[in-house]
Amino acid sequence: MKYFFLYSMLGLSVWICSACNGLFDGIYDEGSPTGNHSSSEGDTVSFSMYLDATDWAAWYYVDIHALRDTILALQEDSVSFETDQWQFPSFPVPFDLTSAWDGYSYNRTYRFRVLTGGGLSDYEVLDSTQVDTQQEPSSWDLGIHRNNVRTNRGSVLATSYTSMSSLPATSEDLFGMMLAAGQDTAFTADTYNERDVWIDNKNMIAEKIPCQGIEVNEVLSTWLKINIPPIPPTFTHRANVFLLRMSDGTIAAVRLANYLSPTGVKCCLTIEIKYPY
Amino acid sequence: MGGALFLLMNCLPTEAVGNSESVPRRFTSQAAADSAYSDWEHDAVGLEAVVVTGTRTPKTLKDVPIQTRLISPEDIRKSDATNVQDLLEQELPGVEFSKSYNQQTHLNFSGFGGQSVLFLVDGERMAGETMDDVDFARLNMNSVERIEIIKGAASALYGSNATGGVINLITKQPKQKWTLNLNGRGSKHNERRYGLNFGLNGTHVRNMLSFTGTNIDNYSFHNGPDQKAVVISNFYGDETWHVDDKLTWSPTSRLQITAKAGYFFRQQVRTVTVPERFRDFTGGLRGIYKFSDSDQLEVVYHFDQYDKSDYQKLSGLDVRDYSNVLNSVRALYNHTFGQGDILTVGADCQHDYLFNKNLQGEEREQDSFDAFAQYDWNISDQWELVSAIRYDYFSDGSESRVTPKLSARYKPLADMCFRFGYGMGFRAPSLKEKYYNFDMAGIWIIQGNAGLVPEVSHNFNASVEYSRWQYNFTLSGYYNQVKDRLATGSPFVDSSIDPEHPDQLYLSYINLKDYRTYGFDVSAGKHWSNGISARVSYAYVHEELPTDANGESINNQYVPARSHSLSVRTDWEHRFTKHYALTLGINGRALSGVDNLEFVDYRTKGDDGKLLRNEIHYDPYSVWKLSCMQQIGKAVRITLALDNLFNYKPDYYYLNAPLTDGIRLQVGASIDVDALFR
Repeated sequence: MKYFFLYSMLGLSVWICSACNGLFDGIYDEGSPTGNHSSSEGDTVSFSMYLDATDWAAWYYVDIHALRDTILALQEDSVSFETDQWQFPSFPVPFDLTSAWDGYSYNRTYRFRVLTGGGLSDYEVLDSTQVDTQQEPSSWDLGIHRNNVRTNRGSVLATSYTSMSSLPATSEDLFGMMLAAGQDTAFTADTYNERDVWIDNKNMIAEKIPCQGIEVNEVLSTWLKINIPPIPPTFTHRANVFLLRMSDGTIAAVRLANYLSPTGVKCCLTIEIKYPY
Repeated sequence: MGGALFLLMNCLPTEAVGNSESVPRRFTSQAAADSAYSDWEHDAVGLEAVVVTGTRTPKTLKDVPIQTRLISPEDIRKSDATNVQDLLEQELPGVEFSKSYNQQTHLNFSGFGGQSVLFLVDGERMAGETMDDVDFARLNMNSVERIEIIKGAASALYGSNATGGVINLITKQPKQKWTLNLNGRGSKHNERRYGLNFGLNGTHVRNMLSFTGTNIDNYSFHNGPDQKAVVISNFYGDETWHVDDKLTWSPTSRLQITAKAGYFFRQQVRTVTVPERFRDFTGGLRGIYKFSDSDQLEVVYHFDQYDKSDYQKLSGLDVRDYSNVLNSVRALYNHTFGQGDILTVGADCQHDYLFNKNLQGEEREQDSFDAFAQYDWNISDQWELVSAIRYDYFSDGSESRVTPKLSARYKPLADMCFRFGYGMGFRAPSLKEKYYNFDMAGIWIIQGNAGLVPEVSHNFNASVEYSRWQYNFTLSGYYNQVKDRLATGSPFVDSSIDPEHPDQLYLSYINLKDYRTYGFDVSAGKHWSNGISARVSYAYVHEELPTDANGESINNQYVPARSHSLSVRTDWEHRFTKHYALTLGINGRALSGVDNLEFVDYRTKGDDGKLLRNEIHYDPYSVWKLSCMQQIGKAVRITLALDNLFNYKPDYYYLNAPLTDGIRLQVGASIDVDALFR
């Protein structure tokens, strides 16, 4: 019996050494970086792109036309494509007026009574500043700022589909089905918005949020809604496929597949696009 | 006495293995077990029950020199509590739970926060914390047999964190050859509870498997207009799963080995796509060897790992962001002298590992070591004196500390007992408090402080207990002087830390200025032969609000203790026929109002340049529960209860308001499957 006790203690010692800093690491994920993926079928390309849009004070621009051309041209060099082509130009949100005012660009600080009153619809303007026009590249289709999206003179229609693979083959087929079902097929253009583009969070707990006055697409921006209270805000993800009709009349199917980085950082967007659709 | 002996033999933390005659009898005699239960039932005020927490040696409640509050198996059964929060709020005055900013549960225990009250499970520490409290959801009542509570400092026996008290949950052991209980309960907000206990009790081996699952959905509160501070609008429920197994092997009358393993899972959904998950893995091995009738050695290894992760539903990734791992080894030796004196010596080694993405360097670890000795001197039939001293060493910062304790019991009459005591308590700064660096949702950055010194408390207590004719009266008082309390201080701005954000608020862990808490408890209980029993307990607590070294009030986000609280429990048990018995019970608590300064919005400054705060008044309130338990046959028990009977709802759910949204019906059932075969 004394040997049993001894061996038990020895076994225990081995266990302790192996368990010092914890066990069961295997049940968790490490959160490896998300890659970008693309494929093509004829003239149509489908791709998934990852965009870190966490910056409160920057817009990122996606040129869907250029990406399609690049994918079709470089599809045999996918490694180079994945590493080099997914850098999206960004332009800072203007906070000052350095040249002639365009007549509509404001930054306003709102006090939303989210903690002590009626919520986001209960607000007052604390200050208003004329600022420069938001800069943008010469060619772009989607502008993205955290959860806000705008188009380059385009318009958007929300569908009931929640995956790209379940979409009808073409947008014409889809419209036909929607009309047959009595659904609205009207596209919504961007509209000027003064309170949804939050450009700083430092005073959020004091209910004070600076907002950029800028045109956004309010239909496409429903793919990720941020609500307070509570603080930290809650994120509501709408995984539906949206149809983006661009200024040249072509249509892309777009979907926000995820809004988290592998380590859980919010507003790191994984966007699926099929173009032309 | 048989009940006392039986319970004594089942006290695991310092379990006494009986002599060569008594131990086999304990494991083999069903009659002995039944007799023990029967004695428990007839010990109406429970003073023959054996407790172990106060001295680490088994003593009957009426004789233990350190005042101990026992929540018995019968109390737990009648309360129908799901977890320790439900139970303590029902059973103890002076205890209140509230929600922290991120809706984790916080305890105020007679003026001490949850971080200053040591929670033990079968005598072992728990890993992990959120907002400095342990995860109370881990402490579900399905697997717990009884709870022993020591108020006041007890660091001389238990080391760090036993500043304000010790709460020791002792898990179930199988009492019969085999037992199988299935139970469940439902209520509004999709509140569900499932439980299973399966016990096997052989000649040399016994095993108890417990499983519990719970769920409650999120729901919303309605707040009145013109709120003066931040309010809670949503209650975030959770889903938990808990499985534990305890295997005990007694190959000889002198040796007993117990192995334990457990798994706990909790998921809370504040963001639909990113549920927060909490897991705990626990395991351990305990060996007790009795060299002789007067010498016993206990060796324990205990492992506890508490993890937090975020489950990203969209990508299927479950990414861990926190892990606290405790590995501890303890040796405890008892020698009983001929005249009944007991010498207890022991030592612990513990390795503490912390991974937290909000920690400087993300990973920290430290080792601690302690040695302690206690002498229990039975001076006479009237007098007993217990003295203890302990030395603790912590490798991080090379901190060491000596803590003493002295307790005395005086029984001038067989029915009357006086107790007096002095104890020192301390709480060593945790790795989190030393090295934290967390941007809390843009409110402020919480900073650790490597220069912290341990919090120290001096506790003086006295009590008198009188028990006769199934009456029991207790009056106890205490005074605590707390030095260098560990807490976050006042928020401050320091533009030199981050010049790009000169208005950034910081909140540092600091040692606070000395403060005091004192109070007294009065309790009366009675069990009548007609089946009626009642207990009324009142607590008065005076908690001085702590300040920093400059006398500034601190960020005290938690409710201070309510000065007056009353707990009442009364029930009537009657067996109508051989196959039907009924227990009607009403229990409740009433608490006085309290005022607390709370930040209006954490940013707005007043005329004095400091963050603006409003005094929030929390109204007095009372919550009552009416329950009806029907025993049908030997096996089936149906419970109907109306909780919050008088539909109390706060007008404003400020951070420290009770999170109740009114009356709720609870329907539960329990089946002792083994009883169907008896």
